[in-house]
Amino acid sequence: MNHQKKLIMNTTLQLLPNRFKKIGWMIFIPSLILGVLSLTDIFNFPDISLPVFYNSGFPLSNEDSGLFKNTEVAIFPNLFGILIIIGGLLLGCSKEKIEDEYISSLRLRSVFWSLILTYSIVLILFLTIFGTAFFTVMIIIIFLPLVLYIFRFNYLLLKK
Amino acid sequence: MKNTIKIERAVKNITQEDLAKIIGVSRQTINAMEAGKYVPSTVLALKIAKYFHKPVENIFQLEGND
Repeated sequence: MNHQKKLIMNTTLQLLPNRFKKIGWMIFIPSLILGVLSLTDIFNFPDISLPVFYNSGFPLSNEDSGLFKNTEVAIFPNLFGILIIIGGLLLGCSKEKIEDEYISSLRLRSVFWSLILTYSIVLILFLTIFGTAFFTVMIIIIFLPLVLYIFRFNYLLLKK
Repeated sequence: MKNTIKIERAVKNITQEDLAKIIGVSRQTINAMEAGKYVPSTVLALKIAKYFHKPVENIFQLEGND
């Protein structure tokens, strides 16, 4: 019996306990909504001057660049980004109530699906968008693999 | 590969949920196997056969394109 248990464990991934999934949803969904809103002009989030680890500066600003400098930080979009990643990782890396070999195969399929879709989108953007808009879009694209994986995996789980 | 899990389940008169609990897998796994969308590992196939008191070959059979 013990031996059998070991075999089953080998076919599934090492993940966080199931309770982290609920915490993940509670962080992920609000920060995703607020993050998307911060891209629009609905709310005006103020920039705050803060000491940062490294400031690379912008081409036309005369700010001090280098390590441990003060700079204007778009604090809210930054915070939402951080929370999307934390919530997303908790969600994507926690077990289902019963994590078995089929659930693991769904995980693999979802990760693969989101990877292919993300890079297809990146490829199209490389071919079509130029200028500063390209960098703005790339910042958003960074979140895509994790966000797509989470939605695809949970869709496959719930689908009949 | 095809299987007769659904038939065996009907004979025993248990739901997918019941079978999943007994075997120790998720309900989705039983559902996917019955729909022919998932081929179980050897361990899982043996456990299912053991529960129905039948040889594995009676429950899981190869198909033409396997």
